[in-house]
Amino acid sequence: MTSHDLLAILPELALVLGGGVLVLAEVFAPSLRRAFGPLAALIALGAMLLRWTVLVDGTAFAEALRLDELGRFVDTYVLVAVVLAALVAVPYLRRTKHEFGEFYGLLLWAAAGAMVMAKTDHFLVVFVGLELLSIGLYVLNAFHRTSGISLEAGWKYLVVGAFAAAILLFGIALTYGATGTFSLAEVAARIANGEGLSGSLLLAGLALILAGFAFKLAVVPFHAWAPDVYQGSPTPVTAFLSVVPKGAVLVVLMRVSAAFVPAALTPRWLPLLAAVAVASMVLGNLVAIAQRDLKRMLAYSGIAHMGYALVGLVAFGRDGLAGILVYFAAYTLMNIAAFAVVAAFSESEDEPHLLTDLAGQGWKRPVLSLALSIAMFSLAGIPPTVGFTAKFLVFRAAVNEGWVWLAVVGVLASLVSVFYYVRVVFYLYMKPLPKREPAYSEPWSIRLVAAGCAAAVVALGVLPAWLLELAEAAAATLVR
Amino acid sequence: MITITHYLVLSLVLFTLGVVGMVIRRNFITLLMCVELIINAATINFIAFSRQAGDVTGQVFAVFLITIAAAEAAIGLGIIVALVRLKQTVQLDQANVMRG
Repeated sequence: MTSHDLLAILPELALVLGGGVLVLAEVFAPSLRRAFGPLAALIALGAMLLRWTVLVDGTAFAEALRLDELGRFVDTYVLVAVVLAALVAVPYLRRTKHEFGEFYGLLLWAAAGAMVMAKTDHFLVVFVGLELLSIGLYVLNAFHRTSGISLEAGWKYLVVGAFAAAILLFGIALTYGATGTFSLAEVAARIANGEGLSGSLLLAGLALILAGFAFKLAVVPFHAWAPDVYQGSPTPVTAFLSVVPKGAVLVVLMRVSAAFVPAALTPRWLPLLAAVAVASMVLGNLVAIAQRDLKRMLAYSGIAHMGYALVGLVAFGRDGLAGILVYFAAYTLMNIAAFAVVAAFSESEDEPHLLTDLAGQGWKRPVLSLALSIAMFSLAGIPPTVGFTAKFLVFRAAVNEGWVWLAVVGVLASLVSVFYYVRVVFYLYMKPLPKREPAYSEPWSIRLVAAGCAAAVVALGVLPAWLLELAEAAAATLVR
Repeated sequence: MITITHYLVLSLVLFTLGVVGMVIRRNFITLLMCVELIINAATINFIAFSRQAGDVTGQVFAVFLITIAAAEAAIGLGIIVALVRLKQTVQLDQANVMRG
């Protein structure tokens, strides 16, 4: 290990050490609890600053880590999600009497796992990062350990997550058997040398790897856990869980595809991804219509959104990958805005977060309602929001690469989705207030997160050039 | 003479047992054991392929795996303890109120 290696992982080190400090502070200085949440957000902001100021290029740790624009892009997006989730968590945990340092420590550690995943092309490191991320999330899901549904979310995510990790491992083992290496860079180099990789061992291995990742992405047919886990987890955790693991896993899938796509297996890999994308878009959007609980509705909407993102992966090429990256950024902002509002608009955590509870709140709580409406319009892909830009980029890439039917299915599916997103806005502004109004809390930090995300959604929707440039530079590290 | 095929068959049997167990069993502790079976199946593969290719990375992976599997099991048991305290059961059907 050299100083070059240490400089390369400075942000991750900051997160891991900061998380440790928070956990210890819970033991030795519990009276400072009020400061833990803001401190966690500051540590994440500091890590982001380090990522963009201490620029280390090339590789580190004997080529295990690859320091490129792509990693930097994903790190930024993970850290933004951490800051927002921590800000939502502060009033939320205080209200539910679970304000402990471990929460923020685990949040920072999980983020470090996602960041490690995002910048490696070695399967061992992918797996270690994935487990760091997942083990943190298992605990965070069950963080309300006196609440039945939070524990239920915890065990469900643990059983499914551990199963997915085991399947992924078996896939990695078979791929290792077929290629003799864990390094994607080496695989790519061999294919470039004209070594045609194929064979049933490799095919089975890649299929199992895809299945393991599909569990984490919650795409059809491995989506069944998502609604229950989303509903049961503490809302700030749901916000984090709905964006960070998916982004990290998609980046790994991008790197895997970039290494294997030129090989003889392309004709089987891409149609497989396309089938998963279509099934997720169609099923996610159709089932979301039937949901009465906001968190469950957002879970199904998340399934559909991962389908759209996979369309970009099927299209591949620089445009497709840049489209996925813009999609990440958009999805993070609009989803966290929505979950921040859900965290305020809920009385008790064990009760469902019903759509009808929003009735008539539109004019009464203007900031939150407007933020939620903008998030819904953006999720539906209505211009001028960044949700529209992202969808447009992904579908355009698909059409340009000859996947016209896939883009058509995607557009039709998002037309269906407009119904249930706009229904939320309809409840907010068009329905009368109920007689017995549920109690809400509207603390400033939740208002700040919701309003900030909504403003960013519109700003990036009107002026996407800056985001697009970053995404294209990041995508160019994989595909010229 | 034990060849790579023997190892592969053994690991495939373990893998299948684990997957079938995950699907048909409803006891949390049994599920954790099934996950462990699948992970061990993968570990056997890693070591067998590593011997075959003369590359030690596979064995390094196995060591990492054993550690990570232990961490995962520890978290799982922690959640079981909380579940038993709340509901006095390790049968998942009785701890399942949300249905997708």
